[in-house]
Amino acid sequence: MMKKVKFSFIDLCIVLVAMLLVVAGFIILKPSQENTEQTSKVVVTVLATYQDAGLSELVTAGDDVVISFSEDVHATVLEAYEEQSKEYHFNTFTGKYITGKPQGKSDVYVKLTCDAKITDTEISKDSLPIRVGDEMPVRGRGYVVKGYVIDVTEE
Amino acid sequence: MDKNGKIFGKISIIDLLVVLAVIVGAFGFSIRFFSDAAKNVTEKTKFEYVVEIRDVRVYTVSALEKMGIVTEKKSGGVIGEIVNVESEPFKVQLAMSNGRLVSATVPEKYVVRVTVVGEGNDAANGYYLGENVELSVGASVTMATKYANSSGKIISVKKIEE
Repeated sequence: MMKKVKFSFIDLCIVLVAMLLVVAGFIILKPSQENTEQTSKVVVTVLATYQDAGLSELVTAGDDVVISFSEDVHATVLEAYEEQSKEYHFNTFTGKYITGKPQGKSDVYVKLTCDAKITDTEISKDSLPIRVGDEMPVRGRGYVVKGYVIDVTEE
Repeated sequence: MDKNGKIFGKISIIDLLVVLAVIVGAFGFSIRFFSDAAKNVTEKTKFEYVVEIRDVRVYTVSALEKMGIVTEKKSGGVIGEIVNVESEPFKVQLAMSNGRLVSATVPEKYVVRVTVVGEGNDAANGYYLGENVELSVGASVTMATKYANSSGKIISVKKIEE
């Protein structure tokens, strides 16, 4: 004969507590599950303005570079080039800005690629978020280009 | 209590503790989610607000135009979703040599107005977004989208749904 199972008030309380915990866990975990995550290649462009002309010649396609000031986060150089820097000065007689071209100074553009984690809110390499406006160094062997991210494109 | 841990020989002390725990839990749950005070703090309200970001280059404008979810940079909490982005050349007032002030357009610089719709709290002491980000005209906000990172000033706040 099977023994009759007794279901007491205490058992009911325990079941209720367990159900509450499950519901609370679902509410807490739900938002993070909605944020989809994938890994993909990204192309990042860094612009360093007003650098000494010729700096881009030190940066070679294929170089393995570090792109963080404090952490060991790596990327690969796709290309580097430079353009004449510009300076803007306010002309107090005409009330307009005039453009100057400082000698020996260049704006250096470095295009990089790396595998990055992509979510709905962030593109990041390891723990380093990569966004337009972020300050970013390009530290290779024997050179460093300190600039700002001006473009991030998913491949 | 007898030697078996039962009060009046019937009620187990463990059972009593479980019942007490459930009562306290239910009381706490009701205070947290159903009391008038809790309603003031946690009631979700939809807001539309505009953040003005000044003195930025075209790269930031382009990145913001990709829109998407907005997070507060420090906390990482979601503070809404961009619904509109407008930009115009950035102008500053400068003095000419004769002392007259002129509004001059700064080359290659822009002012961007980002309209964001987000859920927040209509609390007794003000409006709040995400993890206690103050939503007030004049308040500064450091915002990050998937592609851009910048900071600006809130220039308008509108409650659009309760």
